[in-house]
Amino acid sequence: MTFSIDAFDNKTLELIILPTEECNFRCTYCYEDFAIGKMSPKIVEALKRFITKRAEELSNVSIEWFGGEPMLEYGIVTDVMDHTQRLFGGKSLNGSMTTNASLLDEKRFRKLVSLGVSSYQISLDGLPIDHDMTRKNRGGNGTFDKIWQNLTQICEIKDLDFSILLRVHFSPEKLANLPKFIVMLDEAFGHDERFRIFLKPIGRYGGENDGVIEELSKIEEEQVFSQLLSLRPNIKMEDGTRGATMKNMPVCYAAKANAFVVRANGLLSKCTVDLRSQKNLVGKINDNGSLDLDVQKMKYWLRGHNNGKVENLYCPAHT
Amino acid sequence: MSDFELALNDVEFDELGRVRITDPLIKTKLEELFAANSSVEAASNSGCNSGCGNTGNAPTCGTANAGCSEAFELADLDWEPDLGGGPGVLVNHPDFAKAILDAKIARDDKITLSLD
Repeated sequence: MTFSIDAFDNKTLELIILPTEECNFRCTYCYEDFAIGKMSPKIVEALKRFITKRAEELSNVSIEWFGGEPMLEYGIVTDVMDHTQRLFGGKSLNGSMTTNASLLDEKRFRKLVSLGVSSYQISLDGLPIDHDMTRKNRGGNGTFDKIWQNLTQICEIKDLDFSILLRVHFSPEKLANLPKFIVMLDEAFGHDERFRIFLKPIGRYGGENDGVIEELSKIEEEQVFSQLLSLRPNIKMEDGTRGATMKNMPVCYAAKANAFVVRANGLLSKCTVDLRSQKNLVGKINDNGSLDLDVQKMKYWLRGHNNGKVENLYCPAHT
Repeated sequence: MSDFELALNDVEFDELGRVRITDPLIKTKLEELFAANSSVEAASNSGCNSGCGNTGNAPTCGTANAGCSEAFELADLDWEPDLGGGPGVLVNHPDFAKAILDAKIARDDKITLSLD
């Protein structure tokens, strides 16, 4: 357990980097608009300069790769991780990635883990027939088979230490097949403790698709989780329902003074969901690696520390 | 305003995004707390059923956090303190609450003295 006093500690830095805001998928419920493409070489160099300038005083660095689909810019990911790893040597460097895994083949996966990107969150929407209805590629085709192929190949790797959180999305129209899918996951990955399931209901996070998203009630979400838990799979299942997260409100990265989202265009944000909001544009990274920060906007995101409201610490964007 | 306030008016950021706390008293208290944080963490994981820092209950172990119950009493929590054992919240951490309170008392005392 880490106290959130760490949120103000200059020895800790948490960067969530969007090397591109483009995606090779077009999930029917996605809140992103893909308007900003890849990070330019100038921004990548600025980011590396920033990390260099901070490196000496830091003892804990967390770099989360997000997007868009970060694997579309695999070269940027490896460039920045290689740079950071060289700077940090034996210090704590935690690399992670939220990816759709369609481009995560064994060779690339091995390289990323060697560079410190050892934790992954990968989304699946159920059995192939259900998944392919909502997680389509840009051409409108299903994506399940490629993801599954990559996951099963990664599972065969025995000489690497990593963790993969299989984020299983569920929504009202896909409940019927969900138990079968949990069994399928259990059979494929239940023997491997590096794999876990995170059950997450589909929700409205803003964007054009909100109008067509059906949500379950909180009680229904809890019932779904209980039912799946009763299957007693070997694979560990984590509860991402609204009820569970409300009981265990962690301090969001957006409420931490030492956490920044680096957008592909070099702007700095606090939240990875509230991407269209002006209040979420808190600054920018300069060519020389320094930051221009809007202090008043930063304080808005940190207000939970000031007013003592736990909900403002848990989700400063939507409370 | 809560007794726990970090006094965000005193927080600035430098050109590399580092936190700069301009109030020297609060800055000193925070630095002391950062230095002690590892021992606090160890205490919270040592099996204390009172859940030091985790649940908001005053610890009774008397090891790393002697005086926490007093800090909690002074702090007068106005929300449900039991956070279900999840990750600690800054304002719910007794050492932090006491540090800020001490800093504010010291600062206010200083102001009072100067006015006198």
